[in-house]
Amino acid sequence: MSGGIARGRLTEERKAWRKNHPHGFVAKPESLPDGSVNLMIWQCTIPGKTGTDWEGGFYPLTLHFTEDYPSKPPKCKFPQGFFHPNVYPSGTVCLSILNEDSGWRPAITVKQILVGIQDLLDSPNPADPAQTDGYHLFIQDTVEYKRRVRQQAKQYPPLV
Amino acid sequence: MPAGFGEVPSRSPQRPSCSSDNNPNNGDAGNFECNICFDLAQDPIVTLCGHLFCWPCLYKWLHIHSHSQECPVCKALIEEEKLVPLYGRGKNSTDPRSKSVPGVEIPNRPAGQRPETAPPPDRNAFAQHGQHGFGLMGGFGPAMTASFGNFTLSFGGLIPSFFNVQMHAFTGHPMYGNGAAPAPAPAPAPGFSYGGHHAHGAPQQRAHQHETGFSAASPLLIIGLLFLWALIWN
Repeated sequence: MSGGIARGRLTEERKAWRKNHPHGFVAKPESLPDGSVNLMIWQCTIPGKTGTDWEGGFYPLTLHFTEDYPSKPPKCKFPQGFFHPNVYPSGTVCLSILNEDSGWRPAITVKQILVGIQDLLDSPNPADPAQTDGYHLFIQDTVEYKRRVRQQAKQYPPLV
Repeated sequence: MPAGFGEVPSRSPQRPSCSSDNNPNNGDAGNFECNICFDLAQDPIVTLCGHLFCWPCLYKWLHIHSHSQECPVCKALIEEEKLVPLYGRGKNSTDPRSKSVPGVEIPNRPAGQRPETAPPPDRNAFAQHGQHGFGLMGGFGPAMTASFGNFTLSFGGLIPSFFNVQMHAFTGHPMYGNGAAPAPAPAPAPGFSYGGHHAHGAPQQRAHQHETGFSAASPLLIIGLLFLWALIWN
């Protein structure tokens, strides 16, 4: 396809991922019913870090790339209603490196994005809340916050 | 001292190995892949911060997508006139898989900034390494100042303590004047057998030495004269 380098770059990203990726993570372009591959949407899984309340959960994340990628970052979405102070009710992740106007750089890889989001899970940024539920519990009721996180981890068991 | 200088360039080859550590998964070719499209760089261009890109990729980033002129890898400021194109061997024509974008005219890649051709090795350089004989022959500026410089240095070395500085100051002043005037230097200097032994320093450096030497020496000069005077008085 003409128009940009998005697909070429995503092909390279996919190659690099298949060659090597962090343990427990999944990232693959969407497969269409006719057997073809849509490089512009990736279905991913982020494992909760061991030793945190997020451990045991394997959280599904979808990356939506545009034709302007990698000049512009992909939109990263957890399922709707995902519990985390920095995730919008729509599921969209709010993270500086994913913000076109602040931290995004074209050299950031899919791997860096996914690892960055895994880091975010257990270290939310209270300066940048994206949902009321998660944010209020995080700053006001730590016990309940941790309970909700562990409960959510059980909702996303490993895919067999 | 020459050994200390010699060490500096030998350290620089470490840099390439550092950068390859950053992406160990990409193999050898990874060092030559564009940091935007991750493909082998086409019309490769390098920023002052050392990051490699395709020229079309970088141009689009700088002029279409980015709000500021920053490096897509490290966010360092990018000044377009300071970009360095990489010219490998052969292949001057445009790549057929050129990354053209409809509606976007990508200008030619900035050209390399070529310093002047290095001067051929000449008598002048030879004299700098040379023995007394060559130093005497020289009507060349550098050779002359070189022998001047060594005169002060080695002469100072012969007479320890404050005399050292004194002599330096005395000789330094007229010499500085000589250096400024392009006219052929007066004869006496090459006559000293001290000349030309270690004439490796750059003329500029030497001029600087004398300048500072002179100003620093003035108080010491006075103290030295007072000391002499005291000795004589006693």
